[in-house]
Amino acid sequence: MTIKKSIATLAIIILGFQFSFSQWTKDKGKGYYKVSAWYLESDEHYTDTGDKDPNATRTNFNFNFYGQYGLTKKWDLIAYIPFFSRTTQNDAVSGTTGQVLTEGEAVNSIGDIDLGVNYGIFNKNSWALSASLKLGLPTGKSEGGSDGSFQTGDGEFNQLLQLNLGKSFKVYHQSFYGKLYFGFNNRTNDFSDQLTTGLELGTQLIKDKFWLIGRLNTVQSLHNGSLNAQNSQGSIFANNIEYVGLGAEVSYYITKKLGFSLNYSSLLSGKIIAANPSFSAGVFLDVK
Amino acid sequence: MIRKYTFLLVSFFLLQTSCIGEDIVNDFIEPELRILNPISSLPVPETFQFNTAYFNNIGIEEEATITWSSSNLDIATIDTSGLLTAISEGVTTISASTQENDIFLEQSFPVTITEDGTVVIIEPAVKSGTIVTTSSYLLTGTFTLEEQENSNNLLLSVNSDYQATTSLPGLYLYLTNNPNSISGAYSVGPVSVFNGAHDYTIPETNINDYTYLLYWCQPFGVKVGTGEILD
Repeated sequence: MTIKKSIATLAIIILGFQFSFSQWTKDKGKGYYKVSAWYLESDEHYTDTGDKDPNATRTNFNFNFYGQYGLTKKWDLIAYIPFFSRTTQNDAVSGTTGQVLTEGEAVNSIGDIDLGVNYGIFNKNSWALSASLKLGLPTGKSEGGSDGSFQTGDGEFNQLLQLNLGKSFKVYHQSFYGKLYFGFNNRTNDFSDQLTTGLELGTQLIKDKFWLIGRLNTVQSLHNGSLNAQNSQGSIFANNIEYVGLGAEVSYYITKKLGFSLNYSSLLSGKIIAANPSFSAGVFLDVK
Repeated sequence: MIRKYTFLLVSFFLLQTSCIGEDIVNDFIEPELRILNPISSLPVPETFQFNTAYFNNIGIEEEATITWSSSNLDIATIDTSGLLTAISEGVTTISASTQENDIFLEQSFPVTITEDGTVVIIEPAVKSGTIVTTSSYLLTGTFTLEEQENSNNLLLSVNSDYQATTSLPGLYLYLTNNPNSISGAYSVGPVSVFNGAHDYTIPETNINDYTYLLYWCQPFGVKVGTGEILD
């Protein structure tokens, strides 16, 4: 993801991936831990009208840790720590002379950390309902690079409250789970609040070994924040980001606990956000 | 097993931190030899110094060897620096040419030599144009560019029909000879007016120095709109 708010917003997407199965809380002492590399290369973006426009190619890469630990049967601790984030912009090179017209740039930093809790409200007859609260800490750089637009964080403290409803089921002996979530993201520093919704469907292609997961996520801005492109100190994707995203993940258990996952996500539509797909790959430890 | 996957992740990490890529900009334009201060008339026995500029195939001014000629040396002569001397009444064609690599460029125009009168400068004191968006962002309007009396400054007046998006951060205005690049362009500054008439003073600039207004989004590194500066 390229710039300021896309970082935070796409962090929601990443977290959405990490929150798989999170409507089912972990038992006490159990946990799910994952180290991932995430990458986005963006040479076009959705404008404020929803059209696509080109931009100089920016890349965003982060190396992150996600952990979910069961404090009790009902309470989980959740942490997302992008401990290394890197934003770059390509050199602009003349197609006529081969000269570098504008030097590229790169900024390295820690990203914005998310900490939260997940509470299991009920878990009965294959249905599960949980609520999660995630606090977005402004630990990343909210300004960076020569023009201030190379951010690895948004500089604001936000609180995402989310309800997750899940159900596991079988179709012709094939195991599935479905998940629906709805959240409200309260944001500070003149950012608009957001509504987040999502739908997730997963199935075990190989029992206890291989999962295939599909996701549909939306973020809608409530347009109640005064921050805009003119007062956001150079941030490209400053505020009022919206999108409908589609993603897929494969998750393979090499052993009963250890596995790896690959993830692809793309946007079907959006406003004020990078328009290219992102990828991630990670290694996880699932302590059941 | 853990070592293997850790190695893969670290390799990906190192790959990402090692290099910055390149974007190729399609910035070719036809090279141009431009006479910056053409005249149509010169009285005997006055002299007039012509100034030229050579813009290469990306619109950047470069040093070039200019060859000057007058079609009728009995009427006017011109030296290698472009200094025209009026000799006698009549009309002569003045030519300036340059050969850069395999590109030959020439500009010719008639000059009338009079027994009396004043120097008549061809160039318009005022140029104008229309701003058009080249993106999905709103940008529209008209403008005029005019010389200022008793100074070398220009006044760029953007008219009341102007509208620009407020959705872009870092929107800048440039004067350029290449509508696809800010390389070699003159930065007028960040755009702070997004609706209605407003002016910019362009210091120490000839009205023939640039051929385009260019609206450029600095963080995105792309043009948003242009306005060709026309006579």
